[in-house]
Amino acid sequence: MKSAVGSGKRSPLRGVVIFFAAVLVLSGAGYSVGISARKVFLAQEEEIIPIIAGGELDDIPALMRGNLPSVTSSMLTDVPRRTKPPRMCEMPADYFDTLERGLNVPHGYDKHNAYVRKYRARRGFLNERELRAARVAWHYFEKFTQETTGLANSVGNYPSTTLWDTASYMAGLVSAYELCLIEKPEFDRRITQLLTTVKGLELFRKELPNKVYHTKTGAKVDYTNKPGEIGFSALDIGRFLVWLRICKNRYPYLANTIDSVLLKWDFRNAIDSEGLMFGAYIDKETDETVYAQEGRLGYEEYAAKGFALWGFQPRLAHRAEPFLTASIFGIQVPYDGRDPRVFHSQNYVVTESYLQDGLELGFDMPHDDSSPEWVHTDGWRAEFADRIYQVQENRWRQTGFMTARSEHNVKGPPYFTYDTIFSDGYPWNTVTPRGDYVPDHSAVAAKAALGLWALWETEYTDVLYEAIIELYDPENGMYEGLYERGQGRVAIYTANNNGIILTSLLHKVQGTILTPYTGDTEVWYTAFRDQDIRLLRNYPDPPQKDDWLPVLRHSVQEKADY
Amino acid sequence: MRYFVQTLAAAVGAALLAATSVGAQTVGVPERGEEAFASENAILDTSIPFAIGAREARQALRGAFGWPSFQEGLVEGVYFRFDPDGYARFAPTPRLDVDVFEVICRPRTYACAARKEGLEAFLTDRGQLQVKLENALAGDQFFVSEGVSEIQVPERILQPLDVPLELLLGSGGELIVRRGGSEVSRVSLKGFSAVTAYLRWIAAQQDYSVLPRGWPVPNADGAGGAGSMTQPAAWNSPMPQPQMLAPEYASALAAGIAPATTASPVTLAAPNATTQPQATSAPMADTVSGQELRTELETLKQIILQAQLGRAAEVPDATSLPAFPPQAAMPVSGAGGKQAEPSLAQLLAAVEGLQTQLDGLQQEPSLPVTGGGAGTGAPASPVLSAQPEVMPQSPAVPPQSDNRADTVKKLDYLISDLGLDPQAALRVLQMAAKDTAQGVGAHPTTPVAAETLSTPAPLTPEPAGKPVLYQNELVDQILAELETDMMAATGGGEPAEPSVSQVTVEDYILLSRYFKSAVLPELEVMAAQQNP
Repeated sequence: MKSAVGSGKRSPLRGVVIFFAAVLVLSGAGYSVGISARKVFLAQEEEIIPIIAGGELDDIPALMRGNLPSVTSSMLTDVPRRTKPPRMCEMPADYFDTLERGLNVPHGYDKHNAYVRKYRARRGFLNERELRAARVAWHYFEKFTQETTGLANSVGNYPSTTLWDTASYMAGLVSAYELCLIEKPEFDRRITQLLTTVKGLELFRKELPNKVYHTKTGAKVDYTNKPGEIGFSALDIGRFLVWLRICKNRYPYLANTIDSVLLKWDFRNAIDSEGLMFGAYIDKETDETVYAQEGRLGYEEYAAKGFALWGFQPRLAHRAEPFLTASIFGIQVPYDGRDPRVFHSQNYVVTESYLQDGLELGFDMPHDDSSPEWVHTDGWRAEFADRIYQVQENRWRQTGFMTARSEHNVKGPPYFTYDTIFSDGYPWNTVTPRGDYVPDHSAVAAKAALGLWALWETEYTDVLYEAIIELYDPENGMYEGLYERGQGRVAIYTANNNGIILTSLLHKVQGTILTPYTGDTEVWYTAFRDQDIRLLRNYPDPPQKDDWLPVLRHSVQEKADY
Repeated sequence: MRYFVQTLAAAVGAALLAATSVGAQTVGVPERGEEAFASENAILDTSIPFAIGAREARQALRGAFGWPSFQEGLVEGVYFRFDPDGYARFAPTPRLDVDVFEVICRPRTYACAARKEGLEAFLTDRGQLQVKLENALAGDQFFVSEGVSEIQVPERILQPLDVPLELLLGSGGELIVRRGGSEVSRVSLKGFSAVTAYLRWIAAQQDYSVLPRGWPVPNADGAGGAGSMTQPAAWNSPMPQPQMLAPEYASALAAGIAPATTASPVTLAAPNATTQPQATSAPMADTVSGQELRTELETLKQIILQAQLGRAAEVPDATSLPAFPPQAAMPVSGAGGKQAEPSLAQLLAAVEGLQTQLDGLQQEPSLPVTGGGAGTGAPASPVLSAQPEVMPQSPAVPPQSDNRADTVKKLDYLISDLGLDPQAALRVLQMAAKDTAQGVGAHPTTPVAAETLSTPAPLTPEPAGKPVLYQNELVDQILAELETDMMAATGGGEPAEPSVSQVTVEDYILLSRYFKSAVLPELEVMAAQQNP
């Protein structure tokens, strides 16, 4: 018995059984692992998110990107976008009775860095005096627009103009139509002729419009109005872009014409990858084009927003930095911090650029098409503008000088002055383009006075209004201004002055001049998608949310600084 | 009916009111062309420095028109800036904000005026400086104050200024007007001399030769012989070149009334001052060679000799002819190519005038050659054509003691007006004196000339290291030839007759003037090459 048990344990049969059992167990385990792994992998494949054409994960080829709509604030929020107000003659009599103005909203920054100003803009119908001023201002353009080209002279009879002043003519034209001074056939005739001429302008070295053009011939000229070329100005182009966008948004039937104007231009050297704007001039010695950064605090941001309205991303140009402040009558007046001795460009602080931002763009960001009128989403611009207003009122209250400072033309040499709040280290500095101090040319600029009156409804701007509203020659238009030292009127008539005055009057009736775009996509974004032209000329894609300019704020001055 | 009348009256009243309002708005807004910008108003090239250290800069223009460039600098203690249309400001501070002289030019002319407070300074048609004071009345007294010291100046400061008065006002200080002992006005004269130099510089179309002695003009050697500051042909500025010549100035220049020839001595600021770029349109100045120079001289000699021979047959009555045809005088400055290069007709007229004067002098041998502007008290230059009507025609014999002054005047004219080197000028006088001595002896030899005769200047060029113009072998040779030719033409080797001796002085003046205007640049180059 014992031997049988012992022999059974050592039998080969038993070893074979154990071997097969082990193989069976290992095979089962391997199979189980394989099945499990397969399940895992199969399960992951099933969770992959499909990329939908045009969706967020779809890396849209450049060929198709133009079909996307530009993203604006109203598309991402529930707030409806603003609507274009009716023309003045089409407004119901109680239009302003029901207009919400946010009078009870406290001033200051909100959590989105938007700013509510201390004072509201004036709103209402034009009274007789204002209507008369509007008619006279429009008469400037009636008298000094050239039949042959549709361009308006910059200054009276002198047949030359810039894009800046052509934008002023467009401002006058839009205002005249919206204030019912002219009717649509006249408006269409003028704007179409103008845009056609602008499209046909010979560009500066096939890039962008020359700084100056002869208004009778449309030829590019130099500063003495002789055939030649100077270069291009990014600031002038920026303002012109603002008014092209205003016209396109207000009158969609002009969209194709306007787009075709811009689709001739080459922006490769006008704005760099960091978002700085560049102008161009000719080197006298080598005859080569020189590109130089253009724009200082005030004008630079205004022009930058003009570029941004067309999809460009002027990030650096739109920032206030570098800026410094100068304490004048208790107000910290901001001025550009770039040293004129290094950059050879003066940092003039004038009212005009802030006014244009407020009147035309409502101190709003380019992507904002939904905020209420009293909320300025480009907050620091509105806050800085408040300082520019306040320092001028303070000067009036403390010295008695009515003050509405801007650059303006003068009759005779030096023909043009920067009548500044601050420049070159001095407050209330009136200087010529070459830097002479000419205090005798300091004046209450008509455009600045009525612009302040339109945007700040205060006792002080009432005084400015009384000084300026009848400052006109019925035959020629509004005078440039009123000399501060008692030499009378600045007896010269300009497109810029009359255009801004008309804009100010239109702002009283309609509020912010820029209205939202109501279409889906634009030829500006879809053209030349099958070629490399867009790449070469630096044409942008429709801006998406990530492309929006950042909304910033700066420290606020809490109390007067004496 | 009553309602109708009231309505009508109200309507008429309203219409009148509106008309008055419109009229009030339009009054006083004349469209004066002179205040409008026009490229044709450019009279200056801002790339030509007014003084050492000045620079051209670009204007920061925002509008559609304006001057794209200007010039700024510092001279004689005042900062300045000027535009192509001549509009300028001079002030002791770089901001040009206080104590400012403002210069405004009449459009398209070289007629400019400088203003500061109640003082206005401008050049007369004859190029003399004149001052106007707003508050001055007849009987007022004028003082120039420098700190605590004052000197009274005569009332004739309101007339065209003579040199001493101009120098006095240019010395700085303040000009005070007193009436009955009380002060009426006080105007700072800071910058007066710089402004007057600027006015003359404009009138002479940016010719450096009209600037005062010692004016810091850029060195022509460095500036360019090649015209590196400005190259008119290749100049690529958007500015048009200065182009307009004021009618009155054009006529004045044509008549020889160069702005700087009457009010103050014309001084070459530098011995090798160049003409302005526009003047380089005269190709001879750049390309003339020695052979061409000889040809030109031959032509000139022929003209003079022909005129003399023609005159030999008939001796006109001196009093029946104009003393000196206005066309005879060429502007000393040589500002433009046209002025610098006299035409044949001008030369003939000059010769005729010389002959006429010569005849007059023959009849009155003791009459000094240089007629002073006695009427104005200004030391008139020997370019008599500048003031033909004041040239003394009377046979008054000057006292013997005036001879030295006369010679000094001649010497000054040759050095300062014609730009001759002092030794060359002495040699001219020496030759003139020698001829005179060999002649009738009517002109006593001046002490200076006598001294020169006793120590004749060497004919060889100056030692190296001291660049001397005119004194190279070529010029000496030409002068010798000319002298020989003229001697031969008027009687061979015989002692010169009075007419010949008289002509020699004037001829040298004329020839020297011709040298200066036509061949000076070439001579400069030659001198530079000989004395590197």
